Amino acid sequence: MLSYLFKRILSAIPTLLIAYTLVFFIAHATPGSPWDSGGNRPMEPSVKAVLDAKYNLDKPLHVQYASYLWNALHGDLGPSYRDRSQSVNDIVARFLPVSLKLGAAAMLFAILLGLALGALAALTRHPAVDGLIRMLSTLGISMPTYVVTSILIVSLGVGLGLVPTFGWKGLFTTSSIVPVFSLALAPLAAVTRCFRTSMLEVMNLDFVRTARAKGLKPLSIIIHHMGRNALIPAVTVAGSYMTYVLVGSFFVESIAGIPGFGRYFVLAIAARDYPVIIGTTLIYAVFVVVINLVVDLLYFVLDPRTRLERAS
Amino acid sequence: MTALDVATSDRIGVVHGLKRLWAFVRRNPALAVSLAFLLAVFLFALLSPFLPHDAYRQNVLARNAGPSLKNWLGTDELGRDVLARLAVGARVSLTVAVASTVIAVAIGVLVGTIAAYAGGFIDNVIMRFVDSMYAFPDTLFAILFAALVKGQLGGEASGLLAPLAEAYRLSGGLLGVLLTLGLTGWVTTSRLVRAQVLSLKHAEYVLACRLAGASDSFIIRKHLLPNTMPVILIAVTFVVPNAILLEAGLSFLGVGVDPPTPSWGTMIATGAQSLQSYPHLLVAPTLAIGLTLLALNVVGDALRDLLDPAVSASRGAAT
Repeated sequence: MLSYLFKRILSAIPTLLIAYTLVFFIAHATPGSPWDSGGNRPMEPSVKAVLDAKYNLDKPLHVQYASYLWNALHGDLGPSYRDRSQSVNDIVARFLPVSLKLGAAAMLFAILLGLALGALAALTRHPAVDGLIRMLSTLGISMPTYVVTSILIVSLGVGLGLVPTFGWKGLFTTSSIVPVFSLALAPLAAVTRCFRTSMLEVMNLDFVRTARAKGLKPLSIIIHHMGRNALIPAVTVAGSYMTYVLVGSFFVESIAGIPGFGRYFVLAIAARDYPVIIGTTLIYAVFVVVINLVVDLLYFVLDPRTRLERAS
Repeated sequence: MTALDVATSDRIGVVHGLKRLWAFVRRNPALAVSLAFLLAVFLFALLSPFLPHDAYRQNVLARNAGPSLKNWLGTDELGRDVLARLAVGARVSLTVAVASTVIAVAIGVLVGTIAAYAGGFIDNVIMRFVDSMYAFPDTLFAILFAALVKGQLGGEASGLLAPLAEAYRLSGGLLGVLLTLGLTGWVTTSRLVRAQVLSLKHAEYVLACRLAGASDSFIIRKHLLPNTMPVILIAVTFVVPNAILLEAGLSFLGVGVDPPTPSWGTMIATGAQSLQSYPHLLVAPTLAIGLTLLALNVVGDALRDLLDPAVSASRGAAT
């Protein structure tokens, strides 16, 4: 297992390097310097030269490429151009926790409810439950997060006045209901559908019949025998939705007015704040790679068979 | 078999196919409703110049008006008719969907075929790159790319870029979105096509063809590509809704279509700013894009079932 882990981490390096290279050159090929955002008040050339020198923008591109990478590897993502009193690290520390809480809450909600709904659908096989789930998964797959957020805010916030229409007061307040649900809808639908299918597949296998014949309690069979085996595909699906939640946060946070990382990223693009754009994208890329790794490792925990397969 | 026989059998095949398709649609009411809705959106977009209101005409005296007999869906923050803007927005969405899908699928087919057919080192390099792109959220990449294209073409361009910049300006930023989605949306297609070509490459009839002395390009054109058609169609059913979704997303974030050209995405963005006072400005574009994507997904699902039940089952679980 350790050698597999090592191999996986090694293979993530080229992926991250390609991501960094693409983002670096795209960001720098985007014309306009970060200083000319004022529009009708162009900056004094001498001031601009000093600023360029201070932030190494006067160096050749390959030097900037290498030095930024070097600093990033040492945990320094550089200064923010838009907001010169802060470094990218400060911004990450300030804005990321909100987004992380939001995303984690959405994933947790989606997984727990998805497993429950999927199991319910598989066990009852009631046409009404099936119909509901088909509707949920069609909606979840086709409705973009910004549509769900908008509809929920207009109906629950403006129409019924149940939730605030804007802002963030913490995870355990009504202000988090709409963002969490909007982000959770798609993964919820996918997990439900996937868990239902795999529960139905597992249901008629020999070991489940044996467990039944032994006279085990139905609940214990459902959880320990069926659930554990059916969980594996659901975990993969949930893992693949992590990036979805990440990207969805750009839109949800912008509409619902949540001071998170996603909203900040959107603002940074408009302001051509290179270090922030590159820094955030790098963090996102690392995040995606780590999530994929964690999902892969979860296989080992859940399914002993993969251990043999991978070892051979 | 004579040429005439072939022609008749082809015609019978087409008629038979249409009949099967019709029976399939009739058995599936959701599909029928979705097809009708998409047709309506298409006509709506097509007829946008003939609507009573102009999508760009401002009327400062009637700003943010609610739905009325005169303006069926009300007016926006500059007093422009929302219905007319939705129609032009539909035009933008459909144009982007069709054009960027053509670009993306063409690149995907090319890359997938080359990777699978060449094999070995070339395949390794290409797939390594594709894997990296896959690991990266496509929206994130599209946003960065769109900002780049917008910056390069939106300002004063010189040299080779000048005609492109002119086209970009004339299209109201549409060209930038097309390029972005076309150049970033090919990854799924390339994977599907590569898998299909790999499985066909060692088929006996391809081997027979090669033994008979056929060239690589002949085999690819006459045997591999036609047999990849169902997979390409399946790829299209994923790429089209994704293009519409991303176009609205990019415009929402301000790196898509430029104002004053209406896009459902920009309409959602401005609607979101005043959703408390004028919710109708948010509801109209939101429903338009939501229902269109829903219909496209229903049609795509049906098409995938029709073409290849196995692929649709495995993809359906993953998306």
